[in-house]
Amino acid sequence: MLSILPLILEGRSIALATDHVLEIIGGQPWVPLPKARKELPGVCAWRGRAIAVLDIAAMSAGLKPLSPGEVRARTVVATVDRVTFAVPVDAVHEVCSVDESRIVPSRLTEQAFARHELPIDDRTVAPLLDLAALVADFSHGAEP
Amino acid sequence: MTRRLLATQCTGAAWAVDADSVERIVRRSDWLEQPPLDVASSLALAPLPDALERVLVVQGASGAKALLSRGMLALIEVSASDVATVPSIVYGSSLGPVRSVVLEAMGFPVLIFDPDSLQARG
Repeated sequence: MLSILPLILEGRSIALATDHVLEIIGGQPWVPLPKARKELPGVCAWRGRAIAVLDIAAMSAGLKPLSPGEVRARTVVATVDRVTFAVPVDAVHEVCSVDESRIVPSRLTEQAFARHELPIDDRTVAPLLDLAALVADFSHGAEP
Repeated sequence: MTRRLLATQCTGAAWAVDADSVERIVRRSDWLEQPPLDVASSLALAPLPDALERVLVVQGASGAKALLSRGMLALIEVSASDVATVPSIVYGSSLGPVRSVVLEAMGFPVLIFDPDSLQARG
C-alpha cells in the first residue's frame, strides 16, 4: 500500500506520497526571485534556511500560477533527493492508503508534473506528483 | 559572526551587495562613465517614489561593476546565520543574479545581488 496525502489546488486533487512529506504548515509568505523558472518562482523561510517554492499551478493547464504576494492557505514541505520544497496549496485532505496495483500511467489526468495517476476515493482520480522527476528536470534546466 | 551589507530599499524589499565590496559611491549626476546597471529593474523590484540615484562601484571576482542604486541606502549588519543560500535548483544549471537572501531578520526581504552573475550572462 502507498500512503497518499491529497493536496487541493483550485478544487483539483493532486496526490503526493507521504514518504516525501516533512511537514504541513499554514500559509507562508515567500519572496519572488528574478529570473527563476516559473515552476520555482521564489523561496520561503523554513527552519532557518531558504527553500524553493514549488508552484504546481504553474505546471497545470487551467490553474492560476502564484503571483508575487499571494499566499495559499497551506504549505506542504516536501523533500526528495536532498532537495526540499515548499508546496503552497489551498488545502490538504486526510491521508489515505492506495493499493500500488491501482497506480497506473496517466490517462485521465495528464499533467506535466505527473506520469501516473491513482484513485484517492470512490469518485476522484488524481495525478501523482512525481517530485524525483521534477528535480531531475529542473537540475538540467529542462521543462517538466 | 556578522555580515555587513549595503542595501538599497525598494518597495517591500531591498537589494544589497556586500559592503566590503563597495569601492565608491557616486551621485548619478556626477557619473560620466558607461551607464550603470539598474539593479532594481533587473531584479523586478519597484524603487521608492522620489528615490535618490547613486552609482555603486562594486568589486567582484571578474572586476569592477557600476550598479545603479535608486532608493534609500543603508548599511545593515546581519548575523551570518540570517543569510540563507538560494537553493541551486531554483536557477537550475544557470547562474542566477541572487545567490543568497535575508528572509526574516530585517522585517523585509533582502535580495543579495551577485555582480559576478553579470559576467556569467555576458
